[in-house]
Amino acid sequence: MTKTGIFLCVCPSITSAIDIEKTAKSIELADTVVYSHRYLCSQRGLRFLDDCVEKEKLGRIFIVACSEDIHRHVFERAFLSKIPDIEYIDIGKMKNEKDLMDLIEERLKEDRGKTIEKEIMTRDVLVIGGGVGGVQAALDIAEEGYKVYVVESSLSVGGVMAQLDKTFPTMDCSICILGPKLVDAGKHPIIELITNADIKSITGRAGDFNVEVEIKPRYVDMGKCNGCSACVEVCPVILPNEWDMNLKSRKCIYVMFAQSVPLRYTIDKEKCIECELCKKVCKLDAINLKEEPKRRTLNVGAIVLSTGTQTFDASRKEQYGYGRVKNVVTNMEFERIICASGPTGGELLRPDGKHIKKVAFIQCVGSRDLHFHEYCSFYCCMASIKEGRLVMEHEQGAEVWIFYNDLRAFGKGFEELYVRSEREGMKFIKGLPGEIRENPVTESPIVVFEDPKSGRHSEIEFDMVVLAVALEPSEQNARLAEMLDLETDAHGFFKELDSTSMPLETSNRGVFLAGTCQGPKDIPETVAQASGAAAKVCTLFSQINRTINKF
Amino acid sequence: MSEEIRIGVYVCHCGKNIAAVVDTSAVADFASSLNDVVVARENTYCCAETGQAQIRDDIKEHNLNRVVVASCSPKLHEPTFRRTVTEAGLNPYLMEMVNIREHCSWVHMREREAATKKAMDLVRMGVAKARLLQPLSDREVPTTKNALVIGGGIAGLQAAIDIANAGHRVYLLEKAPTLGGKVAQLSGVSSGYQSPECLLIPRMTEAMTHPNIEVFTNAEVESVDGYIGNFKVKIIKHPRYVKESCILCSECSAVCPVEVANEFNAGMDFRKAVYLPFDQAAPSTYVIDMDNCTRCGLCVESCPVDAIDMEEGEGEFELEVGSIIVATGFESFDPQNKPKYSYSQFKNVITSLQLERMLDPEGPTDGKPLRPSDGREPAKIAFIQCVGSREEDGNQYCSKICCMSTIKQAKTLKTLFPEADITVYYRDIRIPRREFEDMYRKVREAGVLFVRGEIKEVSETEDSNLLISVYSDTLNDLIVQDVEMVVLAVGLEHCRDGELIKGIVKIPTSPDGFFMEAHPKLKPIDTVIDGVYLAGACLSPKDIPESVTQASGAAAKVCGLFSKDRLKLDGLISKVDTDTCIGCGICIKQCPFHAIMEDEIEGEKKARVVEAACKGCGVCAGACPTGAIEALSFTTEQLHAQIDAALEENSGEKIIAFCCNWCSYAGADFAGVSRLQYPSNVRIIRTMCSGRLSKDIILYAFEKGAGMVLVSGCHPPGDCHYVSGNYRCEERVNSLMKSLPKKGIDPKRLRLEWISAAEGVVFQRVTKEMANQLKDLKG
Repeated sequence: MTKTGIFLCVCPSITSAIDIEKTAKSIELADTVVYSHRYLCSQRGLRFLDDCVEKEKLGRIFIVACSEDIHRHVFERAFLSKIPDIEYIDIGKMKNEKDLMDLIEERLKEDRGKTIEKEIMTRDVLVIGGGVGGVQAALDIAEEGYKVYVVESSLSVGGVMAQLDKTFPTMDCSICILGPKLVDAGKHPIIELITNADIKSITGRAGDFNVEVEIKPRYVDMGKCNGCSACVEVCPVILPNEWDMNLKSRKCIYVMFAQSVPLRYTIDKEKCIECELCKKVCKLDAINLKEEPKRRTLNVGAIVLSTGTQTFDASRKEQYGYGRVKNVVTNMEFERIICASGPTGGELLRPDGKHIKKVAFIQCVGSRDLHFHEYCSFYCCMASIKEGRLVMEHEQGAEVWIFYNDLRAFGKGFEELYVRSEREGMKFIKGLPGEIRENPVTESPIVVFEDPKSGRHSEIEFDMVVLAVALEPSEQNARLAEMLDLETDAHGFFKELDSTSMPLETSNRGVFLAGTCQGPKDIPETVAQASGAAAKVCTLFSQINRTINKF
Repeated sequence: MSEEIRIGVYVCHCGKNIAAVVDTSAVADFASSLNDVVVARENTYCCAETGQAQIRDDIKEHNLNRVVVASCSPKLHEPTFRRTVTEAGLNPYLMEMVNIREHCSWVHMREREAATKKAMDLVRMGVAKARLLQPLSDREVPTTKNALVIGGGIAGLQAAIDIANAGHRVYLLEKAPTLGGKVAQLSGVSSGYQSPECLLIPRMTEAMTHPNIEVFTNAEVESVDGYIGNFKVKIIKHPRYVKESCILCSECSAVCPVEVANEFNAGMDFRKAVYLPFDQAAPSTYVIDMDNCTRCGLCVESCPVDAIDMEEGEGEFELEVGSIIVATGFESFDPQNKPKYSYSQFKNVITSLQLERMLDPEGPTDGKPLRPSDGREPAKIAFIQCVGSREEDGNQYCSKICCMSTIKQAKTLKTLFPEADITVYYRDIRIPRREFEDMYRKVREAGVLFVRGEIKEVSETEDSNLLISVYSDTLNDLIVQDVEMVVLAVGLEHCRDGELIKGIVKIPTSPDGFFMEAHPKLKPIDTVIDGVYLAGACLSPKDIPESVTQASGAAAKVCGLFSKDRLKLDGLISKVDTDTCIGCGICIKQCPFHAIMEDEIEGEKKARVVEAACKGCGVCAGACPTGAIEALSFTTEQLHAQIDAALEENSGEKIIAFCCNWCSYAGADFAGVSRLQYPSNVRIIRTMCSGRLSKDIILYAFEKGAGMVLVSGCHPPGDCHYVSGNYRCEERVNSLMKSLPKKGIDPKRLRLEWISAAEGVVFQRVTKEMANQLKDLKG
């Protein structure tokens, strides 16, 4: 009969209903030795364990300590060669001493003739969401030698970053730095981009997920189309261009944006009048108006979620008059207005043709607001400073006012840009305006606020007011969370295994997180996290030959 | 052995994109009239499968040994056509692209004739260059699949564990006697969900026990040589004086007569000269602090297992690694540098780190913060934010973590002393993590007061209480508050050891001393040195989740690198002609990548290119006084041929525009994509970097009669893809500018402009201005 050692960890940071030392003294079972030790997980603790195993010739050990996710492998790595039988009990999950005792006794009685089974591992990876986070994760995983599928619901990879004009704090052009990455992903021999597609179902577990994908029809054969745009010229249907926040038009057959990857045309079937002019002009015979949705099943070993975010509907914050007061726009609309490739060719014009020379930015629209989202959206302070600088660069003598709560310039080079902008004349007003209304004569918005210096009620007319809107979790999250048995937080962002020390992992061993689907982030953090997720995939797959204990 | 040159030229219609403006059949006819052109064809879409098949068939049928594709930007399809010719058995570097779409049909849409003329010129330039193209081979270098991680804090640990778990060997180097870094000193991490022990200790243990990780503590990097995949690192291991057989009985420190301020407890108590840094230190072995040891020998006598060896010497050894992760962390700001806070002058002014130690149940006050002056529980506590951060005359940057740490500490204090008055003096509350907004609200609800203002002075009263003078924004007035203890939320500074590493590994730092990433957006983990990555707060102030995330990211980069046995690098490098090299060493100084070494051949100094480290910018070729060093595929001969071809007709009316591949050429492409029309007399010549251009090449264009010359590169300081190539270019152009009048050339005819990939508009403006100026000059 082998002897069993029960080791209870006495850690000052274990918050448990159980008095561990007292329990240790009270356990009396046949053929068992009970120990308690401070910080079993430390090197000192392992040494103690090792000594006990040697001395008492223990054949089986119970570790009673904190979070299994974080600690189990520490003990396994150290002892698995000596003792194949490591029982782990998470003391945090025990309600009282009796609970713990019952569990130990129950486990002691269990038949130890357990099966050791080899894990099945498919080493392909699915990345859900093709924004900068998803693309970076795909590139890094592919670089490690694993095949990657990127499933993107829109027509092109690129995400929000592709829509931005410049990026803070360096003010470099967004699409110029993103574009080559998208092309790399599009051309990579072991990355497959599945755009215009939705995830229908996911079953299975780490190493063996089955994913059902539905590819919506483009009505243009991806294999034949080469993006020549002959079809666009003849298409008679003119529609507002969502990409440019409806500030510009597009045809019914279109690409999302000039640098789209894949650069293939798509027919907006709902609006198509089936005149077939495009079909006639297409020399490659790529147009097929009868195309049906397709289904594909992917078998993958790991999944990276990078579904990103969506923006807050500014009209919900009624006092700011979005949708009612003319020339009140969201910061995403403003990005397109100011973008060199945008609807005004980069000129700062209002829809009525007036030059924009005086702009107010209102922060925290939907963020840090108990009526909407309590959390901070992270990007908006710097985004407004960046946009304000662009206004000042475009129009000499332009006035920029930023109304804020706390100016959160905490990233690398952020504070410096803030200080420089203030020095160059950008005005920062602490406190958010109470309301925005329209001057019916000039059609300009009037911002009503309390002047923090004088404490007086003030009203100032601007050419344009830009609302820095909150980021919200993507609508897909809830559905995906259900399919993958993941938790989301109170706001709907995916929950990581531990917010401090395991920000990439989830409660599902084969699922990792990248980017804003986990909470608002800026571009550098998203990119770094995407690479981090790639490392986790790599470590998961490198354990392919490891046998795991199945009970 | 001059082979016969046989060129095939393919003029693409790109549907209507080119053909609607440019008379492509005239261009193809023109091409076939050029010397060495064996076959010239039009094609609706060269990039389509049929177009590519035509090229492949012709290569075989006509024995072509050079291919010119006149279509879109090489940035789009160079890889495509390189693959095409390779499939037909040709070396990929024998294919040249001519950009008649972005640089021609799209920007001269209303000038059919001029556009066609220009397209012919461009094809002539392409053929001229193609004639001189040489086959190049991609470089392959073997990889040593071991990684070195410098720094054993939370970031270094995470990186090492991830790489080790992926199956690669890792050396983890730590300067201190124990792993753990700054996180070891925290009493609870910011989010408060988990204690630092839980996140740190298992990682330390794992690093110590992992079969793929070898830990060196008390060790420093002495030198780094080599390049990606093949670094040689010299390590110095300082003696510990206590052997691994130490059983932690603590007899030695009991008898040690020397007491030193305990750095682990932020100087609030004492440790002995022989000591264990902290209870869970890893390796869990005592260490002797030889700077303070008196060599009395008492410890040696007391040790029951003879583990102490006072004579242990320094060890030096060399590691071969394929990749290096720098995770050297940060240092806390020393508030003594800011007299207004009166730190170290008044006892009851403490730092946030000292409070952190006092809040630790195992800290110097057993978890109960007490006033240092009298050991009493403080009833009125003030936190002062931004100490050493966001200053005009000091660290300009925000330290990112102090607001979160203060909110956490205020929360803990409020729990310990519910009756205490706690005030936080702040400028902006900056809490980037989503769970913190909730904690911030709850702390305020619990009665912690947040006052926005600027601290003027901290002074002391007779009973050791403190008076804080604050200028309040909200009240527009100076307020004075009487408190019993002041906590300074000290900022983060770059690690001084990082300075050393910077010199050794040659990673650039920003003015604030933190390391610089290769690109803040898209390569936030990479450095300009291939194979060297960054993790954690050595890059900028970071909290734990961000550090851990970045560390995993760095691990991914290493795993990617190690997934192949050999690394493939492109063939675009520099090459030295040792016959003409005079060993002046200018190229060695100007190379941004330390890729040129000094060699001795038959007693003479010669430059030698370390091929694996060369990035092909050609800055050396632009600098070489004798033309001995060449940038392959952008050789002086090739550039001259392009200039000659461009200026064969009406040279005085032409503007030669030298554009760097990454910014300005892409900027001109963007002008094309945006259909920004500009004068058709511009002829663009691409180089990888503006630093490739020598004064002679620019002069050559003038000699051949160019009306105007534009030199264009990436915006300084940071945009240059080769660190400093744009500066080298600027130096040369400025110096040339001065000497132009002597040569009888009006300096107005030369212009230097920084044009980014996004600045199509700028490219348009500059070329328009130059065309007008050219008219005036001729006028």
